[in-house]
Amino acid sequence: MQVERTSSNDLLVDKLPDGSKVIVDRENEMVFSLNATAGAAWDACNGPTTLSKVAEDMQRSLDPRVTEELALEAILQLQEKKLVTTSGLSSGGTRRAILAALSGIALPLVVSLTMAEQARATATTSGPATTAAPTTA
Amino acid sequence: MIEYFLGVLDQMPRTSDVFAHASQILDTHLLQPRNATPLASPPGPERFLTIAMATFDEYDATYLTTQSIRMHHPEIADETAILVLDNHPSGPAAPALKCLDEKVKGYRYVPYDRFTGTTVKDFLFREANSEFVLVMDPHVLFAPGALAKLVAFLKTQRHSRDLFQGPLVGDDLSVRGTHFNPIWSRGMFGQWGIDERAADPDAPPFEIPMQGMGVFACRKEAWPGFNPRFQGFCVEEGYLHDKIRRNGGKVMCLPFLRWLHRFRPGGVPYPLEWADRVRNYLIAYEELGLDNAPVREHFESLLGAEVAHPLMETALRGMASSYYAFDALFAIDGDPTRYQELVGAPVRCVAAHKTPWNPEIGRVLAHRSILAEAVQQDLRRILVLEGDPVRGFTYEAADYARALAELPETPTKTALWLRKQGTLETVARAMTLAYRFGVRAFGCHIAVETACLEAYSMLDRYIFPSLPRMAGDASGQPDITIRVVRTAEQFQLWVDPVMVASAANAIDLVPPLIRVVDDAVLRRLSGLRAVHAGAVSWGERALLLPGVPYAGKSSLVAELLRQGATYFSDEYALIDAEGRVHPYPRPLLLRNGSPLHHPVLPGECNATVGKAPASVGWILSLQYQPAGTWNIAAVPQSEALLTLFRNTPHVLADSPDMVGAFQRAVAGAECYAGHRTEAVHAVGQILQLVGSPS
Repeated sequence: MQVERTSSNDLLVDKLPDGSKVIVDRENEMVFSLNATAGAAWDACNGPTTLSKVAEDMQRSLDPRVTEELALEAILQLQEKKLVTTSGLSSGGTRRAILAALSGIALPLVVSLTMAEQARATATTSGPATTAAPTTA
Repeated sequence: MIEYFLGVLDQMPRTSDVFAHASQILDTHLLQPRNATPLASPPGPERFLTIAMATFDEYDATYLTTQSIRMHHPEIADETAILVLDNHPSGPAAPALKCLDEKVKGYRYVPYDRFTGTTVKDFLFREANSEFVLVMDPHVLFAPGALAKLVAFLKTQRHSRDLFQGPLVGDDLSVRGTHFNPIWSRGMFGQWGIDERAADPDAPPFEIPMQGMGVFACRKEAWPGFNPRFQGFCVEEGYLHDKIRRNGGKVMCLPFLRWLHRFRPGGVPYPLEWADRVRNYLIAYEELGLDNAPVREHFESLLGAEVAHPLMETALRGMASSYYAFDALFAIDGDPTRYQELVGAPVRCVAAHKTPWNPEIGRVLAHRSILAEAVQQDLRRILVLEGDPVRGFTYEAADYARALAELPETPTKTALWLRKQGTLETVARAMTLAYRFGVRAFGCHIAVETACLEAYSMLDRYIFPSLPRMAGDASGQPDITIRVVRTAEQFQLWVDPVMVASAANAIDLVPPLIRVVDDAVLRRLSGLRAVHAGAVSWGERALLLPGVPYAGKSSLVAELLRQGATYFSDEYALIDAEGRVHPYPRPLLLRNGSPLHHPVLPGECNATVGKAPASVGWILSLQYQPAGTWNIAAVPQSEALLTLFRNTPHVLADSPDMVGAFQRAVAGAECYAGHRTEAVHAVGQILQLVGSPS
């Protein structure tokens, strides 16, 4: 049950005051937002590790109430965004709603934005600069 | 028939008696009688001293003051004239005030209603036919013998540049004030003080710093005049005294010139507007080259920043506008409010004579009367507004004599002149303005020009109204040039050589105008990055409402402004490298349920524009759900960061610096996302969330 960060030479990682993290992957032109729970899991993966080790690290760095199930949910989210790779992990659902009710800790959340999406968004948000067909004087 | 008579008259020598007689008769047919306001009394013979007063619906006081002068100071009757300027000649006191010219020897009545205010006292000097002028309130009485002593004294001052005033006595006839101390008090500069040197009425004159303006005398030639831009009340004290001194004169208290002032227990019948006071003082300080900080500080402490700041900003914006270059703005007929909104400054309202046979006659006569006023008051440059759509004509002092010589003074002569000239424009066309100004906004130099006054007013009002204007011909090479062209049927908006929009009304060009300006500015931003977001400051921190165009940001911002927020932008939050938000003071574009936007200035929401950058306190990413409920949740700062990336018009891959800047912006913010209801309810919820401004 191994967990390892995806190797990338061009990751820019910053922690924000609320504990959440932003990761800019310049090589793959991606930006990730990790909430504090996912961020703690990311920190726990700073070397090859195991799920139980990740859970222990998260208990220390985030909250003693972190369970292996919660750590697993975090790792699965990171894996889904290709930020970590795993071997021997169950890919079954972690029943997020139940986790939320039981743990009292924010569920891990990883949100991503590709730079291509971002560029498309700029085009759609910029709007037309003119309202009529140009006429050359 | 009129045309026939004009044809006959046109053949006659203008100097003949027949022409004079016939044209007088024809005048009565050309002019439509209007509600009678009394005519001015003819000028009387030159006297040594004119005792002059401006009055507003004050018959009793003016009557008693006038008769007191004649009854209690008969020794000066032959050397003085009494001049009454009626500042409300359509009011109830006017006929009776006018009638006095038939009964009181040396009395002259002059109506003036183009604007009201204490500075119409300036006209008293212009109208006076005497070496000296004593200006007094029409509710003032002089001690016995005081006026005779004044006349005798002034005869020793034939080259004086001084201003002469006297001690104010109270109801018990004891001296209550000899001068003003230069202290701000209740919206006025100056507080009464007593100098014991005035205790003896026979004591020699002594110099004082300033005084109230209920009574003052000056040699007509030494009169320094008021700034013609003043309107309304207050500003004379201190301002006039300073001008006297700058002109080489002194302000002297004459102990014998004791005067009793009736202070009205119920207040004055005319409106006293704070806006006028603030504007007048700011204009006065600007004219005198003084730092206006005392004005700003006094009115801020007197009225509170919420009231004082919009008044000062409006006044200063008017002073920065190109209309300020005119000594006076005249508006012929029409709604004066509309003209004032167009030019952002008070106008003098001129009622043209109604000449139904040819309205152009009344128009020419109105222009002529305006030119005569400009000459009389030594106005150097004037703008005449008229019509719908509004047109503007400028006259420079150098034009006055030529134009007055050209324009006839009676209806019949005007009708004959128009037979040859066709229209006033033959005189005035060359004087029509091309309106230009420049604005530098965030490094983008925008040049603006139009030949249409109505379009100019729209451009001046809505292109970054809080930013200073540069003179059109002194602002260098622009990044873009915006022009509005008025054709017979439409207004066209041009950006450089490209027409980008057209509309039947100038105001309808504002939304496309704002978009092209935004586009030009954003392309040239340096050191700042934009995010599509409504932005206000609440207390010391900024609140951002990121969202795509048409997401309803403007309506939220407008409601926040109504609730006391300070305006930054309804569309673009400009973020610097430190993560602080800068005000982007474009007008709000609101839809109010309509598919079309209409522009709204922050002041219309009782708000001011932010002046300095602010750190971000809150980021709320809200989706409007008309039938939904308020439902938001805290989100991580990193997620808010992605929201900013999704809503910036800059491409992240091209602007790597944006990551750090936006990170710093979200780092101090509480971040939320969710659904909102309509603006009023949503803003109530937002304010509960953010709490009282710190």
